[in-house]
Amino acid sequence: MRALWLALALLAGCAAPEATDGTELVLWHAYRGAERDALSAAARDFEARTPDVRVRLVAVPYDAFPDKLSVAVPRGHGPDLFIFAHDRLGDWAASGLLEPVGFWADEPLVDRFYLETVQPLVFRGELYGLPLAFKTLALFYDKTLVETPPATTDDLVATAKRLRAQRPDVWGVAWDADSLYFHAPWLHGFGGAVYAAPEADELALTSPEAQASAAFVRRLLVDDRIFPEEATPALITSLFNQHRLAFVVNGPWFRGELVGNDRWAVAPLPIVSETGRPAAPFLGTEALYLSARSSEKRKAFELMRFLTSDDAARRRFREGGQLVANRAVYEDAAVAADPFARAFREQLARTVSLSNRPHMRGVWTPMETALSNAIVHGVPPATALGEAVDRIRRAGR
Amino acid sequence: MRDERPGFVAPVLAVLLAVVLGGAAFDRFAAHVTGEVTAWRAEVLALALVEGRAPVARLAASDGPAARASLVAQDGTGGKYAFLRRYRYTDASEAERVGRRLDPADAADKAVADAYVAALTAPAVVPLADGGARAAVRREGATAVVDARPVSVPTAPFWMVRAVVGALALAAWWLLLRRTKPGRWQAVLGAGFAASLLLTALLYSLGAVAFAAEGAVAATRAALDGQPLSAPALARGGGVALAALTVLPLVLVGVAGWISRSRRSPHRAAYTYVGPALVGLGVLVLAPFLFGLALAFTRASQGHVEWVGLQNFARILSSEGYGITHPLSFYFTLVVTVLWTAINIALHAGIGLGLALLLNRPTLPFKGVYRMLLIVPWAVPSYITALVWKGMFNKQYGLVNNVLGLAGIEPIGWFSQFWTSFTANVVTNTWLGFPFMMVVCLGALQSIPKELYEAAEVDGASRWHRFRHITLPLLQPALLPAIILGSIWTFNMFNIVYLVSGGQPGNSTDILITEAYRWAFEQGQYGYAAAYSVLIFLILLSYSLLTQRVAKKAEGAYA
Repeated sequence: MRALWLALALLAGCAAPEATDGTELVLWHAYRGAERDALSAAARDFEARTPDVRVRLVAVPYDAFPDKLSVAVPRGHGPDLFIFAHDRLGDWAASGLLEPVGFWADEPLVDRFYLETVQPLVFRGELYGLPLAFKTLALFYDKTLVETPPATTDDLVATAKRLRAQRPDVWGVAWDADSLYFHAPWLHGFGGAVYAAPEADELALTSPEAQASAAFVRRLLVDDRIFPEEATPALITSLFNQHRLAFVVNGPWFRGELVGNDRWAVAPLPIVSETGRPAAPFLGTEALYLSARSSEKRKAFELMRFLTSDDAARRRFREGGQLVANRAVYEDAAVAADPFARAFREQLARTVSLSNRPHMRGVWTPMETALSNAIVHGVPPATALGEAVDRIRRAGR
Repeated sequence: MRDERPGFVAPVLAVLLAVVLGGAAFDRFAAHVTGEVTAWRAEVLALALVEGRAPVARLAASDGPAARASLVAQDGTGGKYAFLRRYRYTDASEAERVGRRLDPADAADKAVADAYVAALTAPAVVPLADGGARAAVRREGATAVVDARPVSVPTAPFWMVRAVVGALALAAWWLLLRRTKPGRWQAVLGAGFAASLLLTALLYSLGAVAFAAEGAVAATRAALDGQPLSAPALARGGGVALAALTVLPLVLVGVAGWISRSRRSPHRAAYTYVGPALVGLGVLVLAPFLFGLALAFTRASQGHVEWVGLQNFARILSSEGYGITHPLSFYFTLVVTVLWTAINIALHAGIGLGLALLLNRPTLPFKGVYRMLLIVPWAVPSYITALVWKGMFNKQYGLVNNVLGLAGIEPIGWFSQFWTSFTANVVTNTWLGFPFMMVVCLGALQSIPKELYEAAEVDGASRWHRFRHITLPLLQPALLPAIILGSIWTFNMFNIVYLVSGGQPGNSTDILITEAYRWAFEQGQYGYAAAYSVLIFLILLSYSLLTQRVAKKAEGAYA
């Protein structure tokens, strides 16, 4: 008899009612520190303006973000909105995780942003997400060693050689040479590209231009000896902080690792002397996306509209130190006078947006091997790059 | 329980409970089938609409399935920005509005926008309050929204079936009970219960699924003028539910039988104690293992998982067409891994044993201090050690090259050749690995009775003889398991290889586990990486089976 009551009690327990009041929008992000504080301040502003909506910010570690997202969203446990770099967009859009926002977005809204930061959010003709901030590479230089930044790569090499002649313990220039992300400025500056055509997945990484870019970096390392050997990110940071490295190619995040703000400056990357083209780094857009499984898409889009507004962008720039995507912010007098923001904004016009297609994910690791072989280990660029392209093709089968 | 006469109340209640609970479960199942069919039909209609197989007017006019249908299509000419679309809207009751963006200030436009947003907000198909379903389907920029009316499945006949089967089960139990000895009644009851449940479930769910699906298919076909249709989602959902309902009673009766048998088993209490641990083991170890195993036979891309059979294994074992000596070939990596394991274990055990012999001398001063210092490498987290050593192997600024420079040796680019890079990995891992072996040896050495050495000394045995014939044999029982365990750890020592050499040069120093990691988390090919880990598992399994036999033999020799 006891079992019967137990069973009945269990059945009754299953039918507990669920209570809801108002709307709660869940937003996943991977921000920390000042960036997170600025975002949550902007979210509180939105709540104050729309009393029936609450915004819950959930911090998800960056490394685990894509996996958590692609597990949670299809099962309906994911967020309404989320913030991430645009390079996984194609994968997510093709998997049906993202909602296109072209229905809500209109011209005045898109006019807020630099078009370069919106373009990477278009996949197969649809707009997914709105840009919050951009990330790219520029040239950091040590003001105690160099007075004016170089305009061309020949300038850069000459300056570095002169410095090395005066002080042998000082190095000329460095970046993470094995990484395709850091090699991209030279690849594009020599006239090369990752893909042969905008839509097809055919790679152009074995082109003579791509080979020339690898040979150029090897020259800096082996012939000119201005590039430190085995330059890991930690070594680069420590050399630059010790004033033993004149130029570093790095992104806005590098600022957080530097000591003494008045001893370094940032400039756009130089023109490649061999081709006369600017060294164009990859452009990454950090965007706010709408989940395809959100049950409050209209309200979620209102939050997107608010968080990407010029006012919210000013707050994110001022308090969070983000390089925001809104034009209006850079027209403010205070921002225009900020050399850091100005340098990256100038660089923005000379970027190539990082491909958002799913295929791109398989390119990084083989290219890392190829660049390390061609630049460090002296394998002929044609062979090294050929191997990488072959390996990407085999893996993609 | 009284032995002389079984109780009547309990079995009758049990059968009644079975009929009632079973009935409730089947009702839920019937409701599920009804909802499924309605949702499926709404989706089929929306698909037909969005693919242009049936116009809005015909869907709405055909007396029946579609209560409301609308189509919102995007228009590619967005003016300044090509990716901003204009929308046009079609509905049975409204005129078509083409060629401009919807204006929220206009009442008609707002209604259109609301319908569209309602469709977007719903996850593909949602149930409606009246039992119907709304489907929103998107294709090539067009979105169709269809509200389908509910399809009902008559359930009354199945109540009768259920009652008859319940009565039959009760009668069967009653007849059987009269012929069997008291005390066995649980088993009989279990069998009767299961039979009734099984039969009812089969009849009911088969009937319901067939009836509902057939009716829905017929109605939809009529609406779409004989378009051929299939019901994949329904067939799958119904099939799974049916299988679950059929298997569940079998499982229940199995468990009941097992419990009633173990009532007589002397290990009953033991099972109870082990139970929670077994459940934990199943959830934490067995389930992920089986999932990983299943993953090895799939290939996932862009959210679609595809069963590819043994293709992943074939690709790995054929080395993707690379020659055996190519650093990216599976066999090259396997040889590197085996070499890595063998050299490491030899060094760990050798150094560990040597230091243990030194520290075991009773006359050594400050023994405790040395012992503590030697255990320090083990206590530091391995990835910190790895990063420190990577810094020390730096060509220009690393400590190793600086020290070699004092001896007049040119700086070595540790990570630019295979053997130097491999050596850097081995040195780092040896630093990490020897303290464990040392601790194991030290413990075993201290448990060897001193009398043996004294006796040997009296017999005139030399130092070497004492080591060879007393120390080594008595160390073996402790050392052998440590070596087996250590080699399995080293075989899968991800941190050191990934952080120190990172596979440089050209992925040649990668071991199997770092290769698998690259496939999973750098290339995103989880199925391929799972196949790698299955192969690693098989290699380690055969290794441990082999060593177990060796260890047993060794035990036999010295026992």
